[in-house]
Amino acid sequence: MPACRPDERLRRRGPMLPLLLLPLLLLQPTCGGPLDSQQLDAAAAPSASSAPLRGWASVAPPADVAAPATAPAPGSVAAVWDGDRWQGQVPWPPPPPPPDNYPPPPQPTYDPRYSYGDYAAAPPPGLPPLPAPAPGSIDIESEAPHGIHVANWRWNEVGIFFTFTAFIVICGLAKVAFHHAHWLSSRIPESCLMICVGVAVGGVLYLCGVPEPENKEDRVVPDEFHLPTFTPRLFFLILLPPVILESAYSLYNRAFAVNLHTVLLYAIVGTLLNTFTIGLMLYALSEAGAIGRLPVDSGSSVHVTLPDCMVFSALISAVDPVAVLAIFQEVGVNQDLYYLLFGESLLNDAVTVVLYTTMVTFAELPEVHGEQYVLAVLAFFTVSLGGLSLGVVFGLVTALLTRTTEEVRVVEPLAVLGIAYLSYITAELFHFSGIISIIGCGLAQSHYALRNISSKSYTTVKYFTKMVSSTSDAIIFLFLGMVLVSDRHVWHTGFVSWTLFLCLICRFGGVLLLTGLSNMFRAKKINLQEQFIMGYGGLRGAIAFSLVEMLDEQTVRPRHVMLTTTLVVILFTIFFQGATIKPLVKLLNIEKSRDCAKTLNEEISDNVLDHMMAGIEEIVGVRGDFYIRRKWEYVDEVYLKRIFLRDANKENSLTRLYEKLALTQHFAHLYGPVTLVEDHKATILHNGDALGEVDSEETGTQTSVEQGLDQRFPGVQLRRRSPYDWPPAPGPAQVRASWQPGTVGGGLPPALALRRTSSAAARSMGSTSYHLSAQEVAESTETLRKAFRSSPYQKYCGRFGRHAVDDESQDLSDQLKRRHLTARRITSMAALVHRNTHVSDPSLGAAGALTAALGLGQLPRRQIHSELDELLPEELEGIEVILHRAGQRATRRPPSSTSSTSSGGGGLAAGAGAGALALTGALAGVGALAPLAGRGLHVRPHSLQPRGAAPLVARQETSASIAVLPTAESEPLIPPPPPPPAASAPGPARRVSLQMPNLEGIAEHPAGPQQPPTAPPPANNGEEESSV
Amino acid sequence: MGNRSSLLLRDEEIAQIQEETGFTPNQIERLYSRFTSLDRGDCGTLSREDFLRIPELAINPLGDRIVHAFFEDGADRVNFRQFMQVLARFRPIKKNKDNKLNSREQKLQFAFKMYDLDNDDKVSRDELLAILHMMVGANISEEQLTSIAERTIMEADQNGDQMISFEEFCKALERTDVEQKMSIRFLN
Repeated sequence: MPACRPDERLRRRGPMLPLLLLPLLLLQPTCGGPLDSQQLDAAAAPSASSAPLRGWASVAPPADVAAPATAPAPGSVAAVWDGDRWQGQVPWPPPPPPPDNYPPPPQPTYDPRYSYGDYAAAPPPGLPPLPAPAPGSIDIESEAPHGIHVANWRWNEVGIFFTFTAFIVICGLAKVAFHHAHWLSSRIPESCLMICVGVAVGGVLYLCGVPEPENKEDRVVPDEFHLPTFTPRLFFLILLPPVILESAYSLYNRAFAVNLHTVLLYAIVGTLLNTFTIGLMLYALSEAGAIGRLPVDSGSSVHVTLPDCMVFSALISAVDPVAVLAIFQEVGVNQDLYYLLFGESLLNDAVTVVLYTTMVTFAELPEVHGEQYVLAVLAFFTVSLGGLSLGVVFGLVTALLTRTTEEVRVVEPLAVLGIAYLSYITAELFHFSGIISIIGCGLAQSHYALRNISSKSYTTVKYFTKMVSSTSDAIIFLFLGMVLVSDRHVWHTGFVSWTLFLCLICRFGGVLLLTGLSNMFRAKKINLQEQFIMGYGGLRGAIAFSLVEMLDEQTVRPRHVMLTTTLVVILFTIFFQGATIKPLVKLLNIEKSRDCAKTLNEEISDNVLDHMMAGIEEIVGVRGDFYIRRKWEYVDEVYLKRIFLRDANKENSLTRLYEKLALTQHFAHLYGPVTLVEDHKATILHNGDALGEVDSEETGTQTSVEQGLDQRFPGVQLRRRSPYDWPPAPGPAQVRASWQPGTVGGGLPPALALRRTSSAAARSMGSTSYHLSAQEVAESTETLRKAFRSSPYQKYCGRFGRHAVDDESQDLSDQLKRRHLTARRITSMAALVHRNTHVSDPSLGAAGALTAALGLGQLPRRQIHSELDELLPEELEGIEVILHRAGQRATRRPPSSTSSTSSGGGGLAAGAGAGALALTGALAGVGALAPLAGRGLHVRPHSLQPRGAAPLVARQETSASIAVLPTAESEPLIPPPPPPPAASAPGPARRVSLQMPNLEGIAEHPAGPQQPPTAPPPANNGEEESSV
Repeated sequence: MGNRSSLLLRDEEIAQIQEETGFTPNQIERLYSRFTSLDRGDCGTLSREDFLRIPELAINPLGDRIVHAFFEDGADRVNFRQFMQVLARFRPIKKNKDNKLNSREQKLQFAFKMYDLDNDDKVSRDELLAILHMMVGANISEEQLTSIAERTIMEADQNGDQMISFEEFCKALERTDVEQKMSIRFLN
């Protein structure tokens, strides 16, 4: 690689510069690539480079280097990373990066005559000496290259980034490996597996003789050896915050608020109780001689002192949020239990921090005075409340900021995430509880800021936190495994086993005691099984380990014993308890979480119940939870939201939920027709004797069908998927039980029959009614099940744990279900409409017909509704919308035939004219397909004929709400005028133009043979539905 | 005041109410004092106005409905026993106790009364719309509210009559933790 320009001398040593300069270098047309400082040095100072270099810093200053050659250009970039700080100046050719962006060169400390190495050899006063080269790195400087290099090895500059990034990526990707090893990860929690991997990594490193880093130096980035190692600072400042932030967002939940009292009781009183019991009992045991002397570093051994015990118990007794989260997310217990445990593990941080620092201080102090205790209590309040208020303030700042980001959406995630992290760091700065601070911030953000930002930003924030936190999680456990392999461990059976024992006992005792206490006040009691899980879920984790790492050998002498003990306790809780908790939850019959998308009913009733309970509390004269909640909501609504929300008025959980549901439905409609076509395809296949093929996703045999369909439905893009909707029930009678074709010509499945319907072959709808035999029902049920199992979502979920799949993906199942339902609905409606052309219902009478004809649409809608109720108990709203629209269209039509009783059916047909029937139309050769459920207008090509003595098909359905009576007299049918064509094909159907025939809304099928009333359908229709 | 009210309440009355509702005598006395303090006219019964005199209740969007639920059909006054019977529904459910009045169904029935404005045991679209109006105020457009109401009904409606019957209501709320949400800790 040439030295592009002689005066181009990049002085880089630290990690930052290459990254920062990379884009700049790429901008330079003359530069082939990143520059190597050594080469530049060599080019500028040949005499220096020819001398053998020892490491970084042994070259004599080349006196002959001409100053002009190396002098910085005026206004050029100036910065050198010398390992500790930015320093000096790097000359830079003026043109490519506008130099104005850079600060003026700080001249004085830089002597341009010094080459790279010299500069290091003679650091200006005040600078620390440069670090020695890393032992593992390759000393490339000594090679003193001349001329062009095609490739280069620059480990010293990039190495640290390389290892760190690779480490993180590998950690994150380890999850993938676990999930592929499903048999393993379904039994053992991921955190355990990660620890095992950590042990393996640590073992390899140990065997390779990689020196253990000195943790006391406590660098976030140890630059001696590039492999990341666990340090408390790294843990507390980098790994922990994302995990906590993610959990803070998840704490924005009503279940947490409801359980807050109990959570606080556990977190504060419980932790205090645990600490003091464990500490005092350990001390007592030691005094009683049960533990014995603990070895210390110097080779001697000591009795453990009371302050030592207290320090140790302060760090060992706190439940760890990371561990709890990792384990319990997989377990899936009910929300109350989850938030009790999880909330406790998060909120006990303040207590732990205060206890730990207090105890360490006490251990350091020769004697403790009374006021120290008072200060410790005060410290608790500053640490917790200070942290909380700091966090909330930061959260509100985010809200204010995000009010203004409407034009600059890209900064929204940055604002949210950055400020959240800032709140953590700031709290740590003041020695407040960073965890509580970031929780406060996260809650405030959830309440305001996350509503201000766009949905894309919201997804980004959510997903980013999820990603980072799950990676952090993996790294933390990996580190825990790595530190296991070490020479530092000092095993002491007595201390270890007593600690473990006390931890378990105190945890269970504390939980029982405090639950008993809180149950006196709780409306919903915590039962004994849940209490057991609460106790059992008291997992310890990396926080305890970090705290024990931070202990000073001088203060707490048996530090290494404690470190080992802590690790044992952590491993025991994570491995033993963590792995057994899932079976236990099952065994104890703990109520599991019900994953539920909220329904509108629930949302409304939540609101109603809140108001109602607040009212009842007023009547009773007690101001309790509901009163407080309502007050808060009032204040929030009236004052706070106006300040912190961009558009406070629009913000309403009800509307949000509604919009979400509506959107889902919209998608269902969007995909519905595609689904239908595919199912239709399957049906054709099935009909064409390709039984059993339907199940498989393999559609090789369907190609021809697909092509055929493509020709017929030019606008529809076929997508392959496994067809759920039409079970290939054997034989011609595979029709859904409740769908009872009055007349069946060839026993066609509905979709196919529909085609015939529209192509004036409606008599093929069958002349006999079919009942599904029990076996057929069972078979179709099985088929449906299989189809569902083979759906992509199921596969996804089967392979990956639930928590690995994000909410968005979990919506997928919902989506698929809706698609499935919509497809069915549409088809059923088509069938229904067809049937109704036969069943013009005189019992509805003139009034009904009139209503329909007048376009109110109510009656036929209900009629259909009740019909469909049988078919599709799960979901009816789509039909409602469809019919409503159709009804509205009918309204616009002049009521031309008020006397026509049969236009009840006509209105019905028109009203029910849903997009599904576009299929019909297309198949009938009407010309095009409107692949849009609920929007395309049903078009029927038949002309209306008054039919004399054509008794309408009367089929008495047991459950249908239509009372169908055979009619004997003729009913003149007058077609309603055609609807305005343009108004009826909106939405995604745009690509297909629907040609309107002259007539539509027929009540009578031209060729429907008259059938006597058929037998009532069997009542087994619900089974198939429910099996889905 | 507590003394006075307990004087007015005879022991057998307390026993009877205790029998009916499961309240402890202590709670009964406390509620009785509340009752008498609400009873401005000192006539031993409460009218709707008495209830609505509670300031917080008067501004509660569902205040009217709540008060209405205290009154039996057609009655315009409620005596202490009826008062207690209504309140008994809000006692937390205890496992081993007989849940006559505070069963889940009773609680839901009370909640259903909030919706059922015309006492026909069905919630129609208009009734739902009215409730929504009460609760959300002017924040949401009429059109949106209407569609929300319609959708809500569709969600719950099972027999296709465009109304929510009590059974359908229970079904729709079967995942809701009514036991917890409709319990007042004091009435434990």
